[in-house]
Amino acid sequence: MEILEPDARDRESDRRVLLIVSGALLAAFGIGAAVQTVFALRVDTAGVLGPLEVTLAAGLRIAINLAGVAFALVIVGVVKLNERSLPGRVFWLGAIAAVTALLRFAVQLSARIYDHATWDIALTEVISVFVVVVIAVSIGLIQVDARMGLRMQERLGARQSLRAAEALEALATEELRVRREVAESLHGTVQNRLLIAGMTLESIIGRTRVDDVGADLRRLQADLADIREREVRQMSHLLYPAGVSVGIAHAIRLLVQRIPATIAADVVIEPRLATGDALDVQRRVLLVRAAEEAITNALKHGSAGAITVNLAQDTAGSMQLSVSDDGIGLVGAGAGGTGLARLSERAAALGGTLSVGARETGGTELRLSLPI
Amino acid sequence: MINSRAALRVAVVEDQPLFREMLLTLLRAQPEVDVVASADSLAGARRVIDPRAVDVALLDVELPDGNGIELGVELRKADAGIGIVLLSAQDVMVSLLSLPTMTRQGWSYLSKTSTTSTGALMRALRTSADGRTMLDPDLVRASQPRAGSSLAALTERQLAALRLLASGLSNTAIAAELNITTHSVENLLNAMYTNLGVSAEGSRNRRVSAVLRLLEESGRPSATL
Repeated sequence: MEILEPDARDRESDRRVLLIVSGALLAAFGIGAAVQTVFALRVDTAGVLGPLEVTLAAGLRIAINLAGVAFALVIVGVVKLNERSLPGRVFWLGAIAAVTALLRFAVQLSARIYDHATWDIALTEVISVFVVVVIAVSIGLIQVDARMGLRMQERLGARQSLRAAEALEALATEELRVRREVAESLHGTVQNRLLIAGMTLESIIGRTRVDDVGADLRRLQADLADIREREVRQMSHLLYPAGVSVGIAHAIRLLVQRIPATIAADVVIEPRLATGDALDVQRRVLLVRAAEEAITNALKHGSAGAITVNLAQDTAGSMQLSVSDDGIGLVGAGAGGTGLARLSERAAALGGTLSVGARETGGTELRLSLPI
Repeated sequence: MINSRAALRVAVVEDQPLFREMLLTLLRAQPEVDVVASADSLAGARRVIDPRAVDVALLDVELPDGNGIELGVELRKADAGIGIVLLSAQDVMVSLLSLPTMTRQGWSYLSKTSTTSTGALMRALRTSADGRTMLDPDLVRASQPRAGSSLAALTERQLAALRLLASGLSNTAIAAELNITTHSVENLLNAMYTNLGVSAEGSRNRRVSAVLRLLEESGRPSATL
């Protein structure tokens, strides 16, 4: 809950807003009332005073009013009115307004602004100032409260976004873990049992003297080997890329190894990464999947004759993967399709960028930049 | 290095019980082999294997709590003379390319199907124990030089010689396979080294480098990703 409570900076800022708003309103009232009194209401009923004296009279009243405003604001600030609860606010605002009104009246009295200071005049003056101060500062407080509400809303929204992102991250990690487990059991148990079944068949074939039985068994054995080497391996790889648990260099080499030999393929991996990397599983998987997507596209759509895979780590520590081919390039303007779109999203979620484009020298290049 | 008259001290790390039993039975049947330790996980291996008491370790690449490659690197660090034979049900021969350059010799690779042939298994064990490198013969035979690589530029005979070398054959054995003299084999290999651009830093290193180059510049004839 801490992030939602206003901190010292928030309270400072709120206090400033309160003082500015209240101060502006009070000053407007103060100056306006003084000007009105002197010029519009013709305080000088006898017409005895000249223009200069009238202006001085106005100036004096304005000065007294502004002094009152300043006094009220100082107390509002010192008392930290914005931080108080309703009862506190009511009490202090009432007190400040009353004291300001009384003080102002006292000052005006001693400055001989009143010709006759009757109780009626005194009451009117004090009450009107009291009301003005209460209204002006209340408006200021309303502003501050609105600000606080907006700020809380913003922070709540931000916290919810963060929670959502964290939940998504946890889900992605869990998904990878499950995939890895299934892939490993395919790799381990299933593959090995098929292997042993194949070997058992071998020994049976060795023992049979009947030719066509032997031939049938051989076919069966070849089928099992095919299931093991292709189907099971592919399924496992689809779930969780082969070699990822060893390292990114290894996983990429395994990928490139499966490119048919009729296509030239070059793997350039920075020596530092060749023997070990500090990447987490999610990043390794993303890098391998991106390389795989690029290679598959090159083979399927690009009629490529040569593919180059480059993996390096830049000075900022980010992984830079580049897969380029010399094929006919991207078909149509819409780059890639759902596979690339998904990879792009995943890259963005991890703080990286994925881009695919045509190379100047012909062919296509996929670039993945991934901070670690 | 091993004394050719003393038994070969072998450690086996394989997590699949049926397979491990098969390997142990096979090895114990060999008079020149002494199985000194066996384990079914990385943790287990660390407990029971004393690298200095082992000539060669037979390691499954896919272990439940890690992989055989890192185990091999650990064992090597403890004893630089130990030979490593990696075992896998799928073709992950390129794992050897991920090894630190310093430790590349004495690592061999065998696919699990090949372990049924005692010949290939024993050859792999002896090759690694002796500090040389051997790849699975079936996988080597099935691989093709990649278009545009220096490997593709070798003559048929040079490639054939390299493949046999990679499969763990000595020069004499290569000569027998190709029906030529041992001397011709040496010439053939030298020409192959030159064409591949493998530097001459001692004959053992050149053999290892050439084998790794074969790995690097090969692919499947036609494969799906």
